[in-house]
Amino acid sequence: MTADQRSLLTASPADLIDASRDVLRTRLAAALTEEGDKALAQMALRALAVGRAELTADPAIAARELAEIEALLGRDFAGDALAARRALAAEIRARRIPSDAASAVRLRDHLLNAAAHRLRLSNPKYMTRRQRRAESSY
Amino acid sequence: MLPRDTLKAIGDFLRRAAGAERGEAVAVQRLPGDTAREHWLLRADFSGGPYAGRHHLVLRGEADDGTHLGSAAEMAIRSAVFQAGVTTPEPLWVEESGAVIGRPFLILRHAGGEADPARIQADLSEEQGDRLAFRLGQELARLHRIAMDQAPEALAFLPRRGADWIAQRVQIARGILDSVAEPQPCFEWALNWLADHAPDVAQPVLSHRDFRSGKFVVDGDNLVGILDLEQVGWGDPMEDLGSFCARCWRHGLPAREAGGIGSREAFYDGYKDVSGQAVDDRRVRFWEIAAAFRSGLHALQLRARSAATAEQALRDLLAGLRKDEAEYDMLLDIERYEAEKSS
Repeated sequence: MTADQRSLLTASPADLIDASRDVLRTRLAAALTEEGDKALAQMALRALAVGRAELTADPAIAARELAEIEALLGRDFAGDALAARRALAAEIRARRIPSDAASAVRLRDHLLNAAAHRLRLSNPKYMTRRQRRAESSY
Repeated sequence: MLPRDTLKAIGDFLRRAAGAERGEAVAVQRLPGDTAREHWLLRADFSGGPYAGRHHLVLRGEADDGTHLGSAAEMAIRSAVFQAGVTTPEPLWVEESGAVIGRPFLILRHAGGEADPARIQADLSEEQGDRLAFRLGQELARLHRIAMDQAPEALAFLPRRGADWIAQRVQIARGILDSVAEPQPCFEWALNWLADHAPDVAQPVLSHRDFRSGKFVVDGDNLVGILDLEQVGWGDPMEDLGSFCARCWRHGLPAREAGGIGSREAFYDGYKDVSGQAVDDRRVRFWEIAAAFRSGLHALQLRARSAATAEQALRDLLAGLRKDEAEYDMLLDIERYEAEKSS
């Protein structure tokens, strides 16, 4: 969505999602009696929550991911994050990333940063539980 | 419900297979849980012959998508596993021609109980969970008694595990990664790591290869039967233990490291109790990482497939998000695996 399109809305996309979630949770889901329907409503609520998180995510994080890949590969992708990820995946498969210790650490750090960012959007509780490491040695 | 003519044809087949003078089958219900094939719970009454009396049976129709084992092959596997002493529904008869219901099918004894991991977890105390984990360890050890080098002739159709098994698995995984639209650097990296660290398998054994919560039926804390043997093949015995202990299959109880059911120690003890051999914990940890990779790959496939209904599309998209959990698990667990090696 461009800035011009956003200006046509009287509410932000996140506000619209929030209002929809509230109605779904407090009115519609509450009126359901079948267990299967209730579970489906919970799934829809979760999907909206993930969509909202993605929508309101800090764009600087995506920019940082792109910059990390550019540094790893020594190439400029002109803002095309998908092309950057595709190139990184191909270089890893071909084992063309330098295998010295420093490069290996930089690559792992990048992969962990990227994975953590996505998990913060899709399932933040999961990451919190793992970080606490309270529930299991592994 | 099954059409009357179909049910009569099934009854006739059962009567002949059971060597009965008379036989009648009633379809009790279609069983849920498998979208690829149909399962029917049948009640059969036989007069005369070795099976005289009432039996609760399951008709397991053959999938027609070309990606699953045929009924005859599945019968051979189930028979070998049952004869090895594994607690699994007894395979009784196979109809290979497709003439009775329009497709081949198996007849198994019905193993009634609960298979839903969340419901099983909810009903188990810590002590009961350890008891069940111990029992599951014993069951795996019984399955692993069937070694590739001494396999019964009936299992000759199973591909033997050759020296190139790692390359084969890598090729399959890369094919799946290539089939999804988005590039996956983390999976590419983890796949390289798995290929580089895969253990040698000196003596391949019959392995379940999809052993996790949801793949067995219990009644309380009593094991009723191991299910879903269709991915069985020759492999490293520790792979099944790793799959069961993988974090991704612990559902809501990650602290219970054996399948979200019980403790890792109880599970290992059960395995040792039957096999007489200590579990190779480090090797199990490797296979836990491999299980995370497989679960993430499966999540990617679910996200990419086209769903027939809006409900299925939502389920697939949410299941696809588990790919993020798999990535995170792989990265942290590989780091830990390597740290333990150097310490």
